[in-house]
Formats: sequence, C-alpha cells, structure tokens
Amino acid sequence: MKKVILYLSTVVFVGIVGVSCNKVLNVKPQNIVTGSQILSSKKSVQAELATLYSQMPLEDFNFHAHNTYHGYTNGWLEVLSGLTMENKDHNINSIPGDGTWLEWWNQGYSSVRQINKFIASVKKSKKFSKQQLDQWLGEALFIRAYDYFGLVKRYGGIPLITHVQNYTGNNLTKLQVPRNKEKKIYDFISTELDSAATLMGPTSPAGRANKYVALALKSRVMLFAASEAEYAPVQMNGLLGIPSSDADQYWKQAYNAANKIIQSGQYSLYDKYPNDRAKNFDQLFLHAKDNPEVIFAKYYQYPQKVHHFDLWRLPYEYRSPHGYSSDDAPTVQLLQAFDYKDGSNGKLKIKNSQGQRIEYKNPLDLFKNKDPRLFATAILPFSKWKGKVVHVRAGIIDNGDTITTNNFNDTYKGMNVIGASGIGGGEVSSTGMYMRKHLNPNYPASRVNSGSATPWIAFRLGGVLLNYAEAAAELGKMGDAARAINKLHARAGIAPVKPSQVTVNTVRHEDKVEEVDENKYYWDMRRWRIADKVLDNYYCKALYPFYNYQDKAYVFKTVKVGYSETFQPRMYYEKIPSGEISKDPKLKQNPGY
Amino acid sequence: MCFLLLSGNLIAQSSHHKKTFAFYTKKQDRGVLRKSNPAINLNLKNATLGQALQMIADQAEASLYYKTGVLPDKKITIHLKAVPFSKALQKVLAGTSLKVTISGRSIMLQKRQITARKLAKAPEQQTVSGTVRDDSTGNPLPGVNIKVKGTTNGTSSNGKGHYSLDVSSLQDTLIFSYIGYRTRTVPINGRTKINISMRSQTLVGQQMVVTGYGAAESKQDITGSVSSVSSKDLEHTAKPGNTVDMLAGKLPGLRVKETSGEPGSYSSSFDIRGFGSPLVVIDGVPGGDLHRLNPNDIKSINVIKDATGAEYGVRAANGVIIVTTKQGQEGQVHLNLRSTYGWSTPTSAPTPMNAYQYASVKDGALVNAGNPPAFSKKQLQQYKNGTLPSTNWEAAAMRKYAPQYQEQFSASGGSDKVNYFLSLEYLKQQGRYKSGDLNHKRVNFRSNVTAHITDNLKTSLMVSGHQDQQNTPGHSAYVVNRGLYWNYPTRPVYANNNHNYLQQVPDGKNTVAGTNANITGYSHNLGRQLTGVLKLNYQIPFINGLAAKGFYSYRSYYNNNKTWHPQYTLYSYDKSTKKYIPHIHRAHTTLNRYFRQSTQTDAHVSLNYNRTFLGKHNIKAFVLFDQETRRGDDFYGNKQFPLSIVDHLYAGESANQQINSDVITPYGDEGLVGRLTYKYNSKYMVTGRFRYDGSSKFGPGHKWGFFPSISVGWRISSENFIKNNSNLDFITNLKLRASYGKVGSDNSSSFQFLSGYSYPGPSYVFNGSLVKGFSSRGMANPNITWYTSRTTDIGLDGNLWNGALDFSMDVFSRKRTGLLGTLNLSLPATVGASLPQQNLNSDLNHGFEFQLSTKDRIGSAFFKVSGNVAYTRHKNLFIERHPSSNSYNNWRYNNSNRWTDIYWGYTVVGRFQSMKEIKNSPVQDGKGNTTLMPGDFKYKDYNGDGVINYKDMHPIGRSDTNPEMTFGLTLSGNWKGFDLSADFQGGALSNISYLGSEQLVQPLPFGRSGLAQFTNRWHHKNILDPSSPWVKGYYPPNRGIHNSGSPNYQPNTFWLQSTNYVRLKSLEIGYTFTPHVSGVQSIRLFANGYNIFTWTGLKNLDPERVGEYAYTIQKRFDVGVNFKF
Repeated sequence: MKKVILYLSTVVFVGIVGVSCNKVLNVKPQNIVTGSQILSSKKSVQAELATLYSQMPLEDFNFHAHNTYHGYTNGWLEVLSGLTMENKDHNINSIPGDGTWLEWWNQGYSSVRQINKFIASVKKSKKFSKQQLDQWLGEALFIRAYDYFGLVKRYGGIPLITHVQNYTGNNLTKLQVPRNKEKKIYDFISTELDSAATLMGPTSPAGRANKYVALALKSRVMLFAASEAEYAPVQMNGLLGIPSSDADQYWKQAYNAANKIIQSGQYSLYDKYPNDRAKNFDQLFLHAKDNPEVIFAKYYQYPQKVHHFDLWRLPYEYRSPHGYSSDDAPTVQLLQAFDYKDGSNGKLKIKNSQGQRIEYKNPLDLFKNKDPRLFATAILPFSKWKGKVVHVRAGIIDNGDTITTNNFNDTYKGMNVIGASGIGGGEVSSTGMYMRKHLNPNYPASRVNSGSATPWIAFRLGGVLLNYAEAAAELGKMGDAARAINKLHARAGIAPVKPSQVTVNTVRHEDKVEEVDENKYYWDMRRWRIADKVLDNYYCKALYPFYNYQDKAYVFKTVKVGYSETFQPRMYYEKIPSGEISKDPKLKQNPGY
Repeated sequence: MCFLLLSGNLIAQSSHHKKTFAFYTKKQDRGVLRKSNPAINLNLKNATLGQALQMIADQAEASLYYKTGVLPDKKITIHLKAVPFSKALQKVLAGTSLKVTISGRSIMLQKRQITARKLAKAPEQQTVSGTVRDDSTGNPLPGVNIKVKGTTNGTSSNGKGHYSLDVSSLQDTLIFSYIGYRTRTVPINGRTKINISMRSQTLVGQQMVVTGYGAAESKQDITGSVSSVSSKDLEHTAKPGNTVDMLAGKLPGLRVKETSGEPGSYSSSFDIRGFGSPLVVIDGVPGGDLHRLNPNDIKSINVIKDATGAEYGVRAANGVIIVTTKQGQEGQVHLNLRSTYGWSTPTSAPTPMNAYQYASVKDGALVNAGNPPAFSKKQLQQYKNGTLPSTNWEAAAMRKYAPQYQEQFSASGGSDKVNYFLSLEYLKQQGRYKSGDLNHKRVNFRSNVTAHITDNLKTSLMVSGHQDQQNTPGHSAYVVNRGLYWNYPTRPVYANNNHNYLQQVPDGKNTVAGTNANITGYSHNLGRQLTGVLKLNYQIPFINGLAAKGFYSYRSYYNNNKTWHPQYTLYSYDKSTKKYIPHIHRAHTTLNRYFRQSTQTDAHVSLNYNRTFLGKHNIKAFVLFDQETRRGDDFYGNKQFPLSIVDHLYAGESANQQINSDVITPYGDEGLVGRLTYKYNSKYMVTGRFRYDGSSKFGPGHKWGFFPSISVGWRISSENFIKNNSNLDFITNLKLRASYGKVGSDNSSSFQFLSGYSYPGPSYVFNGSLVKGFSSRGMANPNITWYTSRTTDIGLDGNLWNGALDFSMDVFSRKRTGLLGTLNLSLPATVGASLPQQNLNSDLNHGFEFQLSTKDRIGSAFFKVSGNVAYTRHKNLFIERHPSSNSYNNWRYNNSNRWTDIYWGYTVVGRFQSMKEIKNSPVQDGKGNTTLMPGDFKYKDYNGDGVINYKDMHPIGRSDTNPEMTFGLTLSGNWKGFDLSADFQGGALSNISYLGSEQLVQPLPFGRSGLAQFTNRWHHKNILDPSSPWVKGYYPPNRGIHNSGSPNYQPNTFWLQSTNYVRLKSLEIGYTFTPHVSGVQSIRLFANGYNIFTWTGLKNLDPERVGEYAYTIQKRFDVGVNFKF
C-alpha cells in the first residue's frame, strides 16, 4: 500500500511537471517578428521601408545627429542654421570645434546594416514580380547612398560596408575594417545612384523615391565630390580629398544629373501667387502636397508623427499656452545678404552718408525694396504675422535718455517700453527678428505644443537649378548658369542677371538666400573651404529698433550678440568617435583630433 | 510546512515536585493554542519514558523540555501506528501517576490525586478570586495554576484569566505557576480579591523562525541568517500608513529609506544588505505588497539574508522577506478595535527667499556679471522695510498640520474544527495643501479560515485585498514644491491682490492654482489587489512522518487612473490700462484614462517527511514543485475637450483622440525544490537545499538553472565542556552557523535570445498615411541565461542568563557572476549593430551585522532594549569595457575591482580672497582665471601639474545616498499599565551631492527665485557697486542666471555633504486598564509620534528625502484608543 501511494504521488508529481513545463516557460513574444516575415507581403515590405526611410540623415526638423546634441532641444535645423550664423539661438553660446557636433557614425552604420540586410533578402526573393523587386531594390540603393553621403560629407573616406557583418565570437579582427578612400566612396554613391535611377520608375507615391529623386541626390553628391577635388587638399593618402584632376568629371556628372531632371519636365517652380512674390515663396514651404516643385520630401502627420519647429520659433506673443518660443533668430548679416529688387547690394540703410542714424516714421521702410524672399524668410520688426504687427522694440529714446526694461508690462508715458515680443525680456528673440520660413500661420497657438506637421522638402526643383547653375559655372558654361538663376530670380521677383556678370560667386550667393534654413549652406561653406575664413572670429548681430519719443520715428542700432564663433580648419572633417579608433586599430583618425 | 506542525501547547505539570516539563510548540505567541492531533508512530523496546516522549515530540514537531526527575524512572515497550497524538501521550503515560486531560485549549498532564480537591473542602472555607494577567501585555492569562501553598488544593484560571479558589484560611499563601512564566508566591494577607500579573520567562527555542515555503524552525536550530520581528514588536510602533516604514531600524540588515512623505505615494525603498530589491512572500505568495499590508494582520516577518533562501531560486538573489499573517485560535473570540487620529507636518525643508532677499541676491548676481541691476536702490529699500509686499507662497498654499485617521478592526477565534482571523482596516490621510485636494484612502481586508476536515486533512482559505486611492491636484508634488522655491516673492498670489484673479507666474506654476483641483484639475489613482490562497494539508497515514501539501494562489491587480487637466487662466494686471490680462495655460483641456489589469498565479505541491531515529537523529526531507505565471493587459485613452466642464471621455472631441496599450510580456517560472535537514541531538545541524529553476526569459537550452545551498550549525552550548562547567552556566545557548549557496537571478529583459524585428518601430508617412515600421533587434544572444550569486554567511547566535541577554552576529559576502553586460565597446560600430547583453560582469557585496538585546525588570517596571548595527558595501569585480588607452584612463574609468560608490571631484582647499590671489594661482577655469572672483572655490592641484583641470579630480567621498552603515535601537518598557516604546534609527557612510539639484547649489536657477540660505554668500558690501569691498559668506558669489559654466559648479568637497543621521523614528506611550464593563477586556489609550527628532549634519534637506522637490518627509503625531473584547 505504501508503495502504491508513493508511486501514485510520484506519477501525479511528474505529470504536473511534464505537462506544464512547455506551457509556462515557452511564452510567446507579442511584438517580435522574424526576418522572413519582412518579405512576406507588400505591406510588410512597406513597413520595413518606413523604417529605412526614417533613418535617412535628411537633417530635417526632427533630426538629431549627436547622441546628446549638446543641450539642443530642437534638432538638426537649429544646429545647422546656428552654425551658418544665419540664425542665433538665444540659449546656446559658442559652438566648440571638437568635431563631435555633427557626429553621425553609429547611427549611419546601424542604418546601413539594416539596408544591407534588406537588399540581401530582396535579391533572394522570388515571391514578387521583377518590376516590383527592382523598385524596392532601387529605393534601398537610394537610401544606402543617402546614408553614405551623410557619412562621407562628415568624415571623408570611411569603411564601405555593403553586406551584413556578424560577430561569430572569434572574427573580431575581420570586423575591424580600414577606411576607404574618399574618392571610392563618392564613386560608389555615383554608380549606386545610377543603378537606382535605372531600377526605379519615373514617379512614386509621395514620400518615396523614384528615378528623379535618385538623380536629384546624385546632382548634389557630385557637387560635393567635385568641390573636394577642386578645393580640398588630398590628405592621408587619399582617405581625405580627391585628386584635382577628377574635378571636372564630377562637375559634369552633377550637371548631367540635374539637367536630366530639368529636361524631364516633370517638375516646375511653385508659382501659385504671381502677384505676391513674398507670399508665393512663403507658401512654397508649407504646401509640399501637390506642389510641382517638390521632388522629394519627408512628410509628417498630426498627431502621431510631428515635429516642434513652430513651438520653439513662434514670436513670444504667439507662443503656445505651454510656453517656449523665440528659439532661433535670423541675424543682421542674413538680412543684408538679401539684395534689393533691382539687384543692388543688400546693405541696410541704418545711417546716412554723414554717419547719422536715419529716422524711419514707418520702421518697415528700412526693408523697402528688399528681395521679397526676405519677407518670407524672416519675421522682421513691425512686420505682420498672422495679420498682426509683431512689436519688437528695444526701448524708447526720450530727450537723449534711453529707456529700457526687462519687463514686458513696463510702460513709459503710457507706451509699452519694449514690444510684446520685444528685445530685453526673457525668452525672446536675441536679434530682434524671428524665423519665418517653415513657420505655419495656420496652427492655432493652442495646437503648436502638440506638434507641427509641416513637411520637410529635401529636394526641390529650385535646389536642382542651383546644383545645375553651380556645376555649369564651374565648367565655364555661364549662359546655362545665368538661365537657371534667372528662373529663380523671376520667381522671386527680382532683376535678372546677365551671363556676362555670372561668376561662381553669383551662384553661391543665390544658394545662400534661396536656401536659408534648408540645412544646405553650412555644408556648402565646408565643401567650398570658405568656412574657416567666413565663420572664424565671427559675431552674430542683432537689430535693435528704438523709438524716438520726440520725433515719433524709429532709429536702428546693430549690436553684437553672443560670443565670437570659431571655425578651425580641422572642422572640415568631423572627428571619428574616439571609442571607435580604440576598438578598430585599422581606423585612422582625421587630422587635428 | 507550517500547518503540519503541532500547534497545540501541551502542558504537563507535576505539582508534587514543582517541576515541569512541557511541549513547547513552534509558536511564538503564547496566546496561540490549538488542538491538533497529528498521527504518531512509535516502535520502541525498553525505552525510557523520556525517549518515548521525545519521539512523540519530534513527530509532532515540538520540542521537549523537562528536568530530570519529573518522570518516573521506568522502561516501556510500545508499538503505535498512526495513533492520534493525545492518545499516544495517554498510552505512553499509562500506569504512571500522570494523567492527560484535555481542557479547553490546553492539554494538561496532572497528578491523579489533585483531582480530589473539592472533596477536601471544609465548611468554614472562604473564597479568594481575581484575574491573572501577562505583565508586559496586560492580556489575561488562561490556564494558570493556582495552588494553596503546602496543600494539594488548587485551581486554574479560565479563559478571561479569572480564577476563584476556596481556601481554609485567609492567612494562607497562594502559588501561581504557568508555563513560560516565573512562578509567583503571594500571601493572601486577609484579602478576598487578588489580581496579579505574571512575568514571562524567556525560554530558549521558543521563538520560531519561518523560512522558505513555510518551513518553521526553532531559533536555536536555525542554520541560516534570518532576522525576525513579531506582531509584538510592531504593535507599539507608530503606524505612518506605509507598513515598510514601520520596519525601519528594527531588523539588522534591512535598510529602509523613506523617500517621500506624500500620502499614498508608498515610495519608501527597502533592501537587504544593500543587495537590491528583495523578494517579498506573504503567506506563501511571492511578490506581495508589503507597503500596503495592514500592519495589524502581521504575525511575523522573517528576513532571510543569505543563501538559505535558495528554495526561491530565481528571485532569492537579493534575499527574501517572509510575512506570515495571523490565524485564529481555538477557544475564545477576540475582538480588537483600534482607532487613531493624528497630524503630520514636515520634518525639515529649505526656506525660500523673501522679496528683499530675492531682489538683493538678484541684483548682486547681475552686478557681478557686469549687467545693470534689475531692482533699484529705492526698490531694495522698499522691500526691506516692507513698503513693497513680499509673498510667502508656502503660507498661501500649505497648511501647517495635515490630519490623518486610521481605524483597525479584527476578530479571531475558532473551535476544534474551524478557526478564523478576520480583519478590516481603513486609513485616510490628508496632504499639506490647504485645498485638501491631495489625499489618500485605503481599505484592507483579510479573512484567514482553516478547517480540519478529518484528523489527517486540513484546509485553509485565505482571502485578502486592499483598495487604495490617491487623489492629487493638477500639478504634481514635484511641480508644487518647485513652485515654492521658484515663484518670485515679489509677485502677489493674486493679480492686483484681487482674489478673483490668480497671478500669472512663469510657466503658470502658481502654487495656489497648482494645489487646487478646481483650477488645475486632478489625477485619481485607484489601485486594487485581491489575493486568494487555498491550501490543503494531508498527513499521509501509512508512512510515518510523511505529509503532502497543495497550494494554489491567485492574485489580481487592477489599476484605474483618471487625469483631468483643464485649461486654466492666470492673470497679470496692467497698471496702465487697469486691465487684467489673461494668460491661458495648457494647450487643451485633456482627459487621460488608464486601465491595467494583471494576474499572477502560483501553485505548488510538496511532500514533507520528518522523523527521528533512535531518539537522536532527526531527518527532515522536503520536495516541492512550484509554478508561477504572470499576465497583464492594459489600455489607455486620451481626448481633448472643447469645454472644461464635463470630465468624462464622452464629452471630449474625437479629433486627435488617442488610444493605445503597452507591450506587457507574459512571464512564467517553474522550479523543483528540495531540502534535506539532518540534526544530531540538536547539537549538530546541517541543511542542504536546491532549486532547479526554469524561467521563460531565456531561450531553449538556457531556461533551466540549478541552485544549491548548504548550511551547518553547531550548538556549542550543548557540548559537555559548557554544559558541565558551572562557571559557564550563564550560557543558555550558543550556536555557530555558516551557510554557502548559489542562487540565480533572471533579472533581464525577455526574448533577448531572439533576433528579427520588433513591431512597431519608427513610423513614416507614405502618400499621406502613416506607416509603422519594423525596428531591427540587432544581434541576438541565444546563450543569455541566469546570473548567479554566491553568498557566504558566518554567524554566531547567543543567549545568556536565560534570555536576559541575546545576541546575534553575522559576516557575509555575496559574489555575483554572469551579470549582464555588453561586449559592445569592443565591436566596431561599422558592424552596425550592438552586441546583445551577455553574462559578463561580476560584483561583490560584503559586510556585517550585529544585534544585541536585553530585558529585565526593575521593581514592577519591565523593560527591553535591543539594538543593531549593519554594514554593507558594494564593489565591482569586473566590468566589461574597452581597454584603456593609458594609465590615467585606467585609473579614472576602469571600474573593475573598485567600490561602486566612489565620488570623483575636486578638493576645495579654500576660497580666493582677492583678485591678486586669483591671478597668482594655477589656472582652474581654462580661461586664465579671468572668470573667477573672490569667494570662488580654490581647488587642490591634485596631480601637481600647475593647472587645475579634470585630471585633478580624485575620489572625495561616496556617491551613494543610501547609507552603508545603518543602526537601530528599540526601547520598550511598561509599568503598572503604562507602556512606552521608542525606535531610533540611523544611517552613516553616505553622501549626497547638491550639484545635481537646481536649488541647493545656487540661488535663482533659470532666473527664478531661490532659497534664503544663499543670502549668506560672498558679495560686495554695496551690492550695486562692483568696486566696493567683498563681504565673506558661506556660498560663493553668484553671477547671472547661468552659473553652470563656473568651476564652482564642478563636483567638489563643498557640495558633497554627509547624510549621516540618527532619528527618533517612532515613540509610543500607552496606558492600559480594564473597565468595569462586561465584555470589555481592556482599553488602551495611547499617543505616538513618527520621525519626531532628527540629528544630522546635513543642511536644508532631510537625510532620507531623495531630491529637493520631493514631497517633504513628515513628522506624524497620533492619539488613539484600542479596545479589546
């Protein structure tokens, strides 16, 4: 009997153990899918592509390159436009040239890995039509080329990885790869984009690549390659720089790629408001949908996928109930870069020829006859925003006394001392101006805190025309260059240029005013190797309007703000993260770091 | 196997010899008596009565004590098979002058001749009556023997402790005797009413310790490191609402830290020996909520600190806290009603600046930075003399004392078949806010019922639960507290002092608005937990000493959260237009709802075998199979509202509404547990334990781990060289013990063994619609598995002078290997994926504990003192990192083989006294000392290279804010119905750096207001004149609103403060009396306080509070009454 009981209890015991083990311990994950599920349907491929596109270094509103972004709260645009000195951030002081600010090494290779994985499985798949697979492969090649462009423009020659590497436990030395020459990377991008352009059709759903998107990227990348050959020295045995003998063929590649897009007739300059040139230029950036000028854009959707451009940049008096405003402010230097409509130099008329300050009854008259694009790029003191005048005053001058305050509520002789968005209070523009391009007046103040959905235009015909013009000018085809620039001038509402007046600098100047806050000009200054001359020892300047109480008119002062900026020659390349140098003995650090 | 134990209290007494022997059961509590009749098997030839009784005792899991000579010297031969306990006793004692009578809740063995007392009664006899009570608790003592000296005439007290005895003369003397109490001899001296109290005698081995899966072991036999508290130790401790807080300082090795005083936050942290979060097991159910447990339900808390918790394998690496709740006792019904009402007030908090202080500190800072001042000399004067008002935000929004109220009720009792313990608790606490919108309510209930179905089968159903709700106003305690320091004292609470218009302040954090739910909304957090436990206990009749047990528990958690954040308006007053300008805060009115529901089941079956062979060899074997599952589900929704009137989702807009849920990974764990104990003559003890444990977190082939432990004990006091040495007879018990074991932890995230993709990942907009993407999981580690802890503990337990002095000491070390780390640092980023976590790193904790207690009586006053001290420190043994490129980097950043709490910083050698000194000192700001001014910290050139930079940072203190050393001291005593208990608690060897805080290192952070302490700073004699001489102060001079760039705000010895402290944690004074009301057993009136006094060198912060803006730690005071029926 004893034995029977013992036996029975053992059976029961073992039975419970045996039955339940599998059920209890083998719980299923809710949110993990295997690699093979990615290429199971068009929808799942689309989901994978969503991730790949999202990792592209588009340098848009939400892009954070550096892991800690040095206290920047609002992404790439702020960093880049700050670096160009087009804008001045009201919190951040000078930018250290330690080569880490634009760091995008880990993120870049992490994205490359996922694309390599995807490319390998697309190449293996037999589940879909060849045309379908070609389109996907073309998109993947385009994205990978974009990633490598993001890497090469920062670091110069870098390791070229085109397959998925895996750590097997004993192949560490195999994974320690050396850098490739800079030329090799540019050539790789060039041929990859050619393949991508061949594989993809001429049109695509909004937000995805097609033949012309690949060519638009190519025209821009080739400008970088050509500039490296033309203006940069060859260093480190070609890891940095490209022999100057290659310059012309790269200019030609850029010229040809841009020309194909222009000739296709698929795109045209946005010209919906021919009677209001400023409004036309303003609206161009708010309407990426059904916009004939847009070649490729990143779209947002409220409320799931948003950015916070407006939240941080609205003028103080328009800020959301949560607060925050006025983060970056256009500088006086930027204002002066915009010429007058007639083509004359854009220097502001603050003093007369005797050196006395000019009094303006209407303060906006200071900007009379400026390039209309200026009014769409910056909110100027006393200009209108959302139908209301933006009051930016620095103070009141009464009988030679200057009255200022840091309190918005303070009044002097019944008049508010500083404007509702005026200089001197906390959390207001550091220069007296506010950013306007990309700022969407249709968002109510209560909404901006939850995010904006203004799209980011990565490639537009205007930019392609500039690529074309630059390559043409460098190749000496001044007629082509003038034709491209004059298309933009006509759209902007300013006087055309004559081919005989066109130089490379004409194109560069056009770049600067046409593409403010599009995160291109900083890189342009780098590739032209002018940054160390233009940006070093440089102060941003603010424009302070003072109201003369007796004369009932405004005078303007320009004031240096912030700290002097530095640009050392080593900053033409970023520093490879020092941890990477110690992990991979075959990696060589860039000079100066 | 707690209910396999014999739970009765068997008393045998021989009145002739005035000597006793007794079976002491494994119950700590004297009032806990229950009939139980375990089956006894005996097979003895020519054994002494003593051996036979010993065997019965062993099988009943009782311990046997008697003095030689009590038992008749006789040999017996007896064969019993599964005979009920009481019958077995009768059979063994048959033919002796001892007789077994089972009366009420006790089984008494009496000499036969005593029973004839009634017959001897003489007609002229008189009656003496009275009540016998426990001297320390005041509880009545039933079953006390009362005898007239020199006669056989006697009686015993009834269930109410009442007795009545006929005596032949009122000049006789009475002798009161009771097991476990000192016998008292009381001359009648002509009285007819004699109420007496009896003092308990410590009897070694009486105290029971509960360890893994309900195993109970007498304290003298325990071989592991376990500290215990019983209900008695908690009864007279102030109850601050969080039961964890009551344990502070009471258990050596258990660190308790009260991090916030917010009602309903339950945020106190606790750990064992600094190991991290321990496993809490309440009535056998793992993962219980110790914070919200009704303290009156607790029968005992046992903290297993070493590897003897290995039975819980997977979760035992940080120690195990085993809580046992009360059970009803056979016999009388006990009703207990306890009510308290109290008040709470902050312990210590920094003082915000007043308007004058703010204006002058602000001007000083601006002038120092070379800017014009913000306040004119005239304004400063007006603030100083009160012409201009100053706002005290704290006084506007906070009350001095917040009320709290607590009601506890319990009933217990039982018959020989069924017993029960029922309880109910209600707690209500108010917060500091004048609005009353911060408050907390909790209701707890418990029903523990046990039924004896047959002699061999017992079943228990234990159902318990609680519901608690915390209501907070629209701004969190953090924001409100920050507002007290941030808000300008120069601004009024109400615009233009018109009470219809709350003043606009930066960010809209007006404290009065933020604390008022009518203005800023509210958050209601409701939590509910329900636990049911079913136990079956079967004494297998055919095999001696074998029992089987089944256990099933089901627990459900439910959370319901509602957060209503309406838009609200603050105003500024425009003097020029005489208009109130509205400032709307919050972009929308929003309502958030959150629901979460989760369940946990735990089931186990076990076999338990316990037998003594040849009277000396005791073997206990135990095997158990355990299975646990956890599942959860949640849902939340959010809407925006056009109007801030109706706070329900149906009134919201459907545009922009959001619903979502979280990824809640299911979890499962299984284990096969075994334990084998061998005891030789209660002198040598060894226990081996193991758990073969499986976790769902790991991949195939790596789910299971084997975790063994061994513990040994040697009771030195049982050796003849102590026992037979009359010089050492003060040693009641002395035991050396040691344990070593390996336990595992699966403290990693699930599914790291899977590669592939997680969905959803990043999203992107294609053609106007949002597409959710996949995110790559990178490389997987299919080999990821348990990390293991190896814990060694050596301890010495002693008991001297029969319990007058009791001590226990331990030294321990815990080494963990296989801690998760990543090789990432050595894999180039060009691979594009980081390596998954691997079992790479190792660390070590070691320390000691010492506990000492003594108790005695002076006159009619009884007192007890117990103290403990514990020390623990944590060290990394190996931390994976990329190789250091030079020796400096190795010294600075290689944390392998190094204490984990090293704080690196500069040593402040003094202050710069003059610009000249600054000029002539080594550069320490990287800018030629041009940014320095007198009063700034002067740092030590640690490496002597003539420049002060990051290379001069060196270890200057501890980075951990948890004390490495903790103390506790408990005093208790009583005298004639009065009682007093006090708990002191403290910590040492820890630091806090003010650097991480906004307010404690500088005034005016972010341009806002700050703390009054900063008026004691270096400043110019005339703050508006930068050329006036410097006046010295405690803090460095301040400039601008952004101080962060200054070298003053680098880690240094000035900002690193010691958090050593001692505090009078709890003090309770009570008076107990028995009113002349039938049914009322006793009434106790009491008053208590919590966190009453704190002794610390730490300035401006409570040493336990984490963070400057956390809700202040509270002192609490209660008055209360406790009725017993």
